[in-house]
Amino acid sequence: MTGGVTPLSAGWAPVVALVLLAGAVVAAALDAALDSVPAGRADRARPGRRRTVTAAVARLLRQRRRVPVAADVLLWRIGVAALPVAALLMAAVLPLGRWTLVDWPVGVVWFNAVDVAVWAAVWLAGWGPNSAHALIGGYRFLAQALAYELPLMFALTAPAVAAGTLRIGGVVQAQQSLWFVVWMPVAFLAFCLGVAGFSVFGPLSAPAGSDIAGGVLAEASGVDRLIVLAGRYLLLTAGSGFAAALFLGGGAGPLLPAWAWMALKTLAVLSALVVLRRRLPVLRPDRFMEVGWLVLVPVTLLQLLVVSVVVVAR
Amino acid sequence: MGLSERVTGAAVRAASVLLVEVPGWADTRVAVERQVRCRGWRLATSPADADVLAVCGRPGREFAQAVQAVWMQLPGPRARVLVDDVRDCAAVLEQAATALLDTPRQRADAGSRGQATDLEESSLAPAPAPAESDGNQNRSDHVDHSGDMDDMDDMDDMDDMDDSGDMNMDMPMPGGVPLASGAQDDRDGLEMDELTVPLGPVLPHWPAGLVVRCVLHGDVVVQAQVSTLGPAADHAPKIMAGTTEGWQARRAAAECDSAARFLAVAGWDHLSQRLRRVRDGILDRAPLEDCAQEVAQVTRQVRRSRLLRWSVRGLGVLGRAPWPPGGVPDDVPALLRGDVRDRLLTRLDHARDLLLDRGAGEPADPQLERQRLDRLPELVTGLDLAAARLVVASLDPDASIVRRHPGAGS
Repeated sequence: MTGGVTPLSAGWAPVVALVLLAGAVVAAALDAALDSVPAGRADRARPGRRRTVTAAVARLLRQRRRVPVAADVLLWRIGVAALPVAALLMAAVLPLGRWTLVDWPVGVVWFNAVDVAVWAAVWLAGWGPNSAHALIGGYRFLAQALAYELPLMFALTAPAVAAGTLRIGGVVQAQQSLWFVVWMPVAFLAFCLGVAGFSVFGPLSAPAGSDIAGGVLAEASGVDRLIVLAGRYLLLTAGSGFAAALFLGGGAGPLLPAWAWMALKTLAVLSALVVLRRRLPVLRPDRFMEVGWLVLVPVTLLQLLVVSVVVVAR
Repeated sequence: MGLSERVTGAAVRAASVLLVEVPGWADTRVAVERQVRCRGWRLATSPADADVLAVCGRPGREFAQAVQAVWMQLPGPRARVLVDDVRDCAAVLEQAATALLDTPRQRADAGSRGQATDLEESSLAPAPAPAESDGNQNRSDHVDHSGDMDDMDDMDDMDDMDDSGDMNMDMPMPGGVPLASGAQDDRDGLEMDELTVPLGPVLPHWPAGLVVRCVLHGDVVVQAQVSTLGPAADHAPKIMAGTTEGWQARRAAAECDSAARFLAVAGWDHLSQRLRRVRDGILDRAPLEDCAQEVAQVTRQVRRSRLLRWSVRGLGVLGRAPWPPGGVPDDVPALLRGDVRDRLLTRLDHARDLLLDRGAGEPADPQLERQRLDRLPELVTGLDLAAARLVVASLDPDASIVRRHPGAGS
């Protein structure tokens, strides 16, 4: 059984990468556009000039790569390159309508494995440049990851338990009658928080915070910086795609074809994450640890319990 | 127009600027910030992120060395400008843009920065210790020049090494940088590596001219030493006396600026932007009632944010309950009372009072600024770097005032 999903040949991988990249560019453009929205009444009189994504990319392409003294260049490059690669590996099991690159029976576990690999990537990006601020950024990420990862895992388990399969296509199909977000909202929120976490984004962007001069980004310049920044948006896009597939019914919807619904829902989650970023301050990693273990783990476990009881009783 | 010109043009349209403020040139820094926004540019968070190094004011000798060290870390294409006067800043940034667009010149600059020039460049800046982001990442001059006894930074480094045993000879020094050394005291039963990292004078959202020399265990500050760097002796900034006309508005703008920087450190960019705009409005002589109203709105938003309260609760408490018993003498001025959030709210209220001319405001008080500076080391010791940054931002000592009145408060 393939769960109504057709696996594509490996030759389609570049297309999947481009689709993912398009999502990331949309997110970055929205972020840039919101930056130039006037902040408060006093700002409306003097709008600044827009900073476009194209110009920002051109700047980083023109900038030289810089390597600090005694940097661990190999590990640094591995960490930097691993971010977009991880995003692509996530997207590989994500169904866009009828199509998916691979339709593994363990898609949910695969996603989880890749998002844990991001731990190594971000930490290496902090370790590599041999700089105090970058290293602190890397360790902040690990501390934060310890707090968001378990809730994220339990949140992932809920749809899998409800659908009775670890196949992403199967989880999407199990939502034909009712989206999972309706009866597992806590899992959905914990999942979105996890997406912000592994993308080092918004309230969980402390590892790249400006209080430590950009943290894991502090020493990255030129193309290295471009890849890290792009990797963050790509991860955010892939994560939003999973939120759409696991909780919002994937391609289910009237009138439009399945792929369009999937794209729309992904963009909706993505935009919500980008917009919400402006409403919230960054969470301090040490305080977030408390929340992760004392609040998020228990509530996601409870959510899982509720889901399991419903499944057994059904 | 060829592709490479187009890329160059686009790149320069998105340039990012690393600001260095010399104490006393706050007005200039504010003007440059506004000009940067006008051009669609952005402020950089670290030297690696920057295309333009904009120094506001004329730094003194030690400060200039730090600036030089930062300059060497800009990846290039790069431009360095000095803004001495508020009125110049548009022209000076235009000059920086022209320099960035000049590809042949940038190429020549890049070519002159090979391995050979590492030495040459470092001889320009004998001791780049208080550089931006990296205590250990600076060039090898730390070691090479440690015989330079007239240089304070190098002496500090040597002292550190001596404290931690005679490891100078046996310790491997990758890239000529000494490794973090083992600490004397164990913390939590763990042996921690000790790393000396100077914070400032060039950091985003950091008080001008402040240097906090930290000894870090991981990211925990175990020892902090505060100093300030000043302007060149023959270039004292033009001082606006605190009692000249319109000082209330200027003071209110400064308070908004300071609060905006605190919010930026707390990672709340949106609200920080908003306060900056209020600041600009005040300086542009917008109706003061409107400004006061907007400040009040921001204050409400800050006060209502449970997330912020929870996230900074109990940080950097001054003068509340006696804690530890008898530890904090209760002579804390009203403006410094409470934790970092209380201080932020006090600042915002102060700004509003000044704008509404309720007579509650005071001109800058040297004693108060001195207290902000003196209380800093004790408060940040034992905190992690994120918390320490919040405490520094909440105190935000004005080095120009402290340096002008060296005797105050001591």
